[in-house]
Amino acid sequence: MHKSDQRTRIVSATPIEAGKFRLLPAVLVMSQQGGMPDTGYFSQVRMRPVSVVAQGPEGARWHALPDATQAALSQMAAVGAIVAAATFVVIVLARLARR
Amino acid sequence: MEEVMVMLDEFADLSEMFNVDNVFGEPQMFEGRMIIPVAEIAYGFGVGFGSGAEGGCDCDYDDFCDCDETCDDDCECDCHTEGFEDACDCDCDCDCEDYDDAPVMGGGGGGGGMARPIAFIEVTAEGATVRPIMDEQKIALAGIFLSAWIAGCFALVLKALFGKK
Repeated sequence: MHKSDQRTRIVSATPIEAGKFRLLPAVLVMSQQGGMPDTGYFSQVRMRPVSVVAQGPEGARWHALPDATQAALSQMAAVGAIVAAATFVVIVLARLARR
Repeated sequence: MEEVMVMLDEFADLSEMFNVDNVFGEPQMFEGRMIIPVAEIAYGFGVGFGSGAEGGCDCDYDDFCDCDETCDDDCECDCHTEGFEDACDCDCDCDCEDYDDAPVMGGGGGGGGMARPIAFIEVTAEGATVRPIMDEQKIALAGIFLSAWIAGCFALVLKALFGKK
């Protein structure tokens, strides 16, 4: 049996100096590693930026870093699922009405 | 096994090259604005290895095997290999000096990584703005698939409503 260790955490990256602003980034790190001593090992890491806080003379402002592509694909998948469910309901109702 | 450990060490060095700071690219000045690219990074690797129960006979079979006449021509001198002792009626007289009892080991591994741009941060005198980046090719492909899916569902509905019993 494979032993696997999965961890998810939010890590702050090194602040970025940009003119009079100081950007404090946060990154979501998902890692998984496992294996057995006599068969092998595996490890995978995924790092996704989550947000950035811009500190300036007028104060700090939080900015989300959205994954627009993933959001659009998720919306499309949701539309596909809703259409499939609606189709199923219509087909069942049509069969019941014919009886 | 030593080679596998070397491979693991090399992958460990590769892991150190990637850290959370790589998610944010080097700031670039462009027309009075500072652009900071932002990407999603993923990488992984795996190694696998295994060992056999016993080593085989490395000797030249023709010289050392003394097969009976009843044995097939393709009789091989596998007398020392586990599971092949009774494979044929060879009077196998393998006098192999190179015979090795040590387990046979083998292994392999691989790895890969990817970086996908998701946004860039635009910093001007007024403030910082996040501009998302959309992968139009992926969206277009998904749109084509979704259109076909909806058309298929619509056809099923029409068939259910107006089709013959």
